[in-house]
Amino acid sequence: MPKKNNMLITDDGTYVNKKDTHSMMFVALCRVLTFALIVLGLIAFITGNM
Amino acid sequence: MYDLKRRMYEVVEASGVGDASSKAYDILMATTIIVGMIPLTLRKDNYFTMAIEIATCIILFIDYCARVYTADYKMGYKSFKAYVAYIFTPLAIFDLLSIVPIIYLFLPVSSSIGLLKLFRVFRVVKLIRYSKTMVIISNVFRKVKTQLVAVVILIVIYIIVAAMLIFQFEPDLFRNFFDAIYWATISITTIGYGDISPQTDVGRLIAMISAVMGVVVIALPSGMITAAYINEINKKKTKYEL
Repeated sequence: MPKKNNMLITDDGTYVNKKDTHSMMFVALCRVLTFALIVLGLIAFITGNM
Repeated sequence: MYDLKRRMYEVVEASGVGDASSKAYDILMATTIIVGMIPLTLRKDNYFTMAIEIATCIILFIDYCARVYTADYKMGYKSFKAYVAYIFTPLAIFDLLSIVPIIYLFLPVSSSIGLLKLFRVFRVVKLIRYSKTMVIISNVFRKVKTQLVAVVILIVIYIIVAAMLIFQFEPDLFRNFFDAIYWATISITTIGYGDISPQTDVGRLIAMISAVMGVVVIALPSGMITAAYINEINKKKTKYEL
């Protein structure tokens, strides 16, 4: 059987694809960073112009 | 088979339809570029601008490393030469220049080191990747590149000749030759600030010729770019209709 790095064998012998989980985590990380950057940018702009 | 490198390439390139990871990454990069420009709108750095600088440079550095790592997919062939060739492409050079401002955070403050901050403007070029409209515009400029270069050379020659003439006929008007170049540029582009105005008849004649030349020469590239842009739009429309 070919080796699949994104799969694991559960106790009852079925395969679980972790690719979707990785994608969701990556999308969540990107969104958190985007939001954090926007907030930081707004604070920097407001405090810099005071 | 889950190929991590291929997937990384798909994510860092501009997103296709239905690719949520790539779209989220594109939004993050576009936000990074725009937020990274905010310190340029402020007179002094503060704690938050330093934090923006560090965060944006780290994200852009990771992006650059990912793009270099997947350069063999980008260039279309698997070889060490693909990586080297990619590093010297225009967008890769702009990517590298946009990371340069981080250096000034680690070096002693001086006026020359502070100029590194200006490299932040190169980040705007990166936005080309993430906007379909910008891709169209860059295609348009690529198509009319030869004609544009010819017109720009004509304009530069005229500016230098006009500057030399006015510098000789109005020596009291200009501190140095750069002022004459400045005046010739402002005249030919028909902006005419009025801060420097010729006083002699010959000087005014040169100014009149510059104004007329300006109307003709500045209209040329506008027409070329507009025609090429319309062709590009029509080509895309035809492609979708077929």
